Amino acid sequence: MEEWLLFLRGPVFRLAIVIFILGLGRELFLAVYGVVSAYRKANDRDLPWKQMITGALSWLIPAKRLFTSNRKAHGFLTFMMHVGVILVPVFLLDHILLWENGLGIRWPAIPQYLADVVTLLTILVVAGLIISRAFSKTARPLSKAQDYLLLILLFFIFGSGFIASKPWNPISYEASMIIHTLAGNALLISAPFTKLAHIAVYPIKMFSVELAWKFPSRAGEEVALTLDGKEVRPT
Amino acid sequence: MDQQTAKKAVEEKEKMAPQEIEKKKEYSYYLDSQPKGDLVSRFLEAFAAILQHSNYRFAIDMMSKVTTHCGRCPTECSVYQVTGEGRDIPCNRSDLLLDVYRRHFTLNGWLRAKIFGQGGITEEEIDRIAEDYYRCTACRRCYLFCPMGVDHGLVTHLGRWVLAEAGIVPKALAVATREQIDGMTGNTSAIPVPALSDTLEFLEEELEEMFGLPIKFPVDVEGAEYVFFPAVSDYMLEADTLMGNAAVMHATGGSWTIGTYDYDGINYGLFYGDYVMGRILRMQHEQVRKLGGKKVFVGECGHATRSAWLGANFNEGPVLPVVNCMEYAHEQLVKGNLKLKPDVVNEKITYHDPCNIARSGKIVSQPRELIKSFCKNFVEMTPNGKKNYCCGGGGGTVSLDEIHKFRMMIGGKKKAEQMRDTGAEYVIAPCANCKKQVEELIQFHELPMQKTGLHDQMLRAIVIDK
Repeated sequence: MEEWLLFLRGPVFRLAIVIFILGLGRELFLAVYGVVSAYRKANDRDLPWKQMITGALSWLIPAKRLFTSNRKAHGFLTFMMHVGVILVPVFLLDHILLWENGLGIRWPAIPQYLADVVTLLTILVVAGLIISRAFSKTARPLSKAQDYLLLILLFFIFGSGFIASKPWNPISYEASMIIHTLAGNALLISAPFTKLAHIAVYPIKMFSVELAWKFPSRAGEEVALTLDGKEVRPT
Repeated sequence: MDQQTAKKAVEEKEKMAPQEIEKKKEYSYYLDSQPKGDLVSRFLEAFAAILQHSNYRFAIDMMSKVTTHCGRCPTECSVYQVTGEGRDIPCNRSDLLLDVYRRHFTLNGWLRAKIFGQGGITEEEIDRIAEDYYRCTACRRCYLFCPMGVDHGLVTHLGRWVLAEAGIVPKALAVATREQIDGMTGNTSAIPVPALSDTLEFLEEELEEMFGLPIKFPVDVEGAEYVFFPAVSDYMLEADTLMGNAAVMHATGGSWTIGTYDYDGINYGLFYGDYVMGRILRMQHEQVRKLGGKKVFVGECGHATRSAWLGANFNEGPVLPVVNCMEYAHEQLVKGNLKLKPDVVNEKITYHDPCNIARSGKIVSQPRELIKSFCKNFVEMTPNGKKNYCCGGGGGTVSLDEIHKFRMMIGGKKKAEQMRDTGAEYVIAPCANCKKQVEELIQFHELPMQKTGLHDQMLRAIVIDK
């Protein structure tokens, strides 16, 4: 079991993080490239910059947005989930020590009791999101496999991480860590290929819609020429 | 469908060969013409051409990756709130087109299809897009509430353009646009210039009777600052709105004119295709330039204003500013040039926000400040402003009389409830399309109120002393 753990923590994790970084980097590059080429093709480049930035920021700190719409409970759950998913993996001391061992870099950690509380909360809200999705009249018909699988992975990542070093852990430390690293690596690998790609493209998305309404001047004529061989045709 | 039309449909069907009958497309709305050839190939070719030449690709690429399927959008959609049907969930509807994009235009989608043996788009799926994309009014309310900022109105707009290039266009929209672009009169209501002149002459007589002095509709005046583009149907149906426009311009000394080359602000291209939208906007700019005008001056119409805002996309040269007549009136009110009596309009009034000018937040406070300057009995709908509900006739659906029942019982039901809840005697609906839909809602739901325009009411309260 220890060899498996070393394998999952070592080569598999390194592969997963490379796929995560390169994959999301590719998504970010494609998004930026898309925005720049659309901006260059657009005839009218007057964008409502202030509105776009405030709109995007209002979702980053979404207290008002998430809690004032028709799905308030869902808004709360998803906000707390994001807090947990960002705070714990990045600022947990155990994770920071791994980075220090591997790359010699270190940053401040959150206190262990806070990490435990946030982890427990995250487990509960993730469970809540799975139930909410399964029973929601509006979310259930939309849900695809990845919508459930990503949440299930998160549940196992946080659950196994939480119980790993607890004295009352019903399974061994190594077994918890195997589940933790296996699920964690799976999440990292899946990120560029699933909706987790929003990690990279979220900053760009604020440009995408406003820019999409800025058309190349002769797009219609070019389409007509391509399809029917002439730029001007009877309506 | 009325009896005469049904009889004609049967006669047409009897003349067709069996294989033609089998291929005939029928949707909730009448088609301008039957799509020709292999629909699937034509649809994909159209989609590919549009992606190649337009700016939509990167946006829908991003949307196809980041949609979270959280289920927030349907809870804010006025159509879904009534039907509760999966087909009316904005994300579900957008996925119909985004799935085509993923499957046919992305490496991931191609690989997935190869691995899992998925087929390509079918004609049944295209029929579903054709049906569902005209249930949506493209009001973009869902966009306000989507955490990923997915604009389902944009996807509807794109989907309808792809459909149009594949040969699927609602007859009502196509016929009107054909007259506007290729017809003798150059406008959607086929009003020739002599009829326009007669109408303006009549309105001038009415204004002189009302105010005791001549108030003119200037025609083809060169060098005027504002060149006027109302919804052309106003010339037939909204005399008070037009007289209100003229009265405001007279009272404020505005330099304006109507051009006889193009006097129609309507642009159904916003509803079914950028190709026709661009052609109409070029006509508009050409009219302004022919007269040496400075600004595109739009009537109260919401979609006419929004499409005019898009005019800079299709025209070369200096950008022509676009001013909606309500923005102009508000500016003049603030400057003190427009005076409105506060004690003439005493009825309880509410205000419907047209999606095309309110959703962006561009024209929300101005009409309210105007109303409050002459009416002490103003009541808001709930919700209002940017988040107001669509009238249920947006996206060109108000022109499809064959879906009247859908617009009354589903699309416009939330608006009817909003209007009833205000207890207002007048509902100001400052958009030509909204006016028609609101009027029909009032009649269908027997609401104890009347629809009116903002300039209609300003006409009652305006102070003109010279």
